[in-house]
Amino acid sequence: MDDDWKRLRVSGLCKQFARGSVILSNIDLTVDRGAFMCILGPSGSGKSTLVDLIAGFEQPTGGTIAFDDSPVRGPGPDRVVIFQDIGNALFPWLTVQENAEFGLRNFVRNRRERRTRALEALELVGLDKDTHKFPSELSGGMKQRVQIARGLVMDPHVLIMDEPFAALDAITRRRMQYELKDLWQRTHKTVIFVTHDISEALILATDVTVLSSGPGARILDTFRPGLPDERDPADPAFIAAYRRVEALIGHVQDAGDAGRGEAR
Amino acid sequence: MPGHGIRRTAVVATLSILTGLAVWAVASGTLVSEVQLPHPHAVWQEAVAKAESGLLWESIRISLWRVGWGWAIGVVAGIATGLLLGELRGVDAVVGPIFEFLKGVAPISLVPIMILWFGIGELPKLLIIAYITWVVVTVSTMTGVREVPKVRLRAARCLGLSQLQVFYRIILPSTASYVLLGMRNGIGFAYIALVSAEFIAVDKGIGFLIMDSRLNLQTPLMVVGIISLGLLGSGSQLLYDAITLQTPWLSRFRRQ
Repeated sequence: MDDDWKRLRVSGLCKQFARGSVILSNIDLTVDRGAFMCILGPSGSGKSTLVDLIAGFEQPTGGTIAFDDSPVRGPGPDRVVIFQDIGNALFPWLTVQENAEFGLRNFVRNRRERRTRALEALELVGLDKDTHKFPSELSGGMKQRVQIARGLVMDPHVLIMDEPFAALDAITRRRMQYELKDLWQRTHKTVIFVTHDISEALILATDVTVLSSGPGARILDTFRPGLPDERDPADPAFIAAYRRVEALIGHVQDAGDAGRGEAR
Repeated sequence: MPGHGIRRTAVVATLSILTGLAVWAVASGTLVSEVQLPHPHAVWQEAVAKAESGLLWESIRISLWRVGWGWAIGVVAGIATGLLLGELRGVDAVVGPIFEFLKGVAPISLVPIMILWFGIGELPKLLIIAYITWVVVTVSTMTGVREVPKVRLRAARCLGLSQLQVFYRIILPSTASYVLLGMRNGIGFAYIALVSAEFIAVDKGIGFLIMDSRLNLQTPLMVVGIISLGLLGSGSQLLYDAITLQTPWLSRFRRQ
């Protein structure tokens, strides 16, 4: 893997399914190395399809995805996905430690090194005391932490997070957002974070991309919120940014839908 | 308090068995003639006599041998078939209904054709038992493969696993609980098949004992055979549960 990459570039990306429905049309997106890119869009805007394409689970109908000039093909450990589906994303027959180590088996020969690296990642997400538990013994928030650790361990170019907190209760969700923010500030891992929750995007992002509602979703705007490192939803600048996104989405959508992006 | 619950279950179970015995003891000789339904005491004496003569143990031995081997062969074949069919996407739509149909074919209806094909030795008996176990385990395994969550497969793919690695590091462990359940259900089916096979054209085994005692009007022996079968069948399942639940590396596959 080329470690000297500077940006992930998505250009002219289109996705059309066999029966003719266009999901995404002409998506251009640049994610700089070290950025925290939030892709924000209403339900049905093709966010998940975009994730599937970048992750390599689906092939685009047109356009390219490339780290600098080397295009990506198929799924791989340079683009690890953190899934929303809390119940199914972990391997239930493996302990927390074994889950975190899972991907290293192909890349790290030394067993002790695998252990150490997994433990480091688990420490980062605050689970180093729960290494021998099984996923069934963990809360939703803890399961998502294991997923994040399992991804971090691979040292991917990009961590793709597909609405990872949407299924959590509101309090846990907010806590996870701040923990992730903290984690990102310590690791400066490049993150593509997909959400329909405007305040979540504004708490986390260095860059925000707003998708229109589908079908045939396109990019409405890409901007840097320009907020201070410590984000405060009560801060006037935060509220101004919130309004701006709301207005943008409200443009193409019924006002009722465009309200606060509460999780289902 | 789990200990409490177990003790209560044991008490209820004992009471229910004792009640059954009591009803049986009262009914025999009053509601039904003793020829049709012998008294529990007569049955017990018959069991002791046949145990001492060795006939009972010999019958149990041969029946267990048949059911054990037939089941084991069926399990191995069923796991292999189920994995194969589950992996071949699209095939299960065609093959699934066939197996559901085969599951409904009573083993006893296969006995004549097995005799026609394989004669009256041990082979057709083993095959009938193996066959029905194979069907049950295949369906269960195939379902297991089909039910592996897509997200789990995708997670493995982005952690760098090849298709082959996904098969043995994700699909096999994900399917294990379904296989274990299929094997357990297979035990019950194997016993049904055993009796079907032994009712016809044999000279040994519990099934033979039951049929033969009817011809000789030895009802107590017949009841001994029936009870032996019940004990063997439920005993086998209990043993299976004990083994699979107590084996740590197996029990982790039951976690969801």
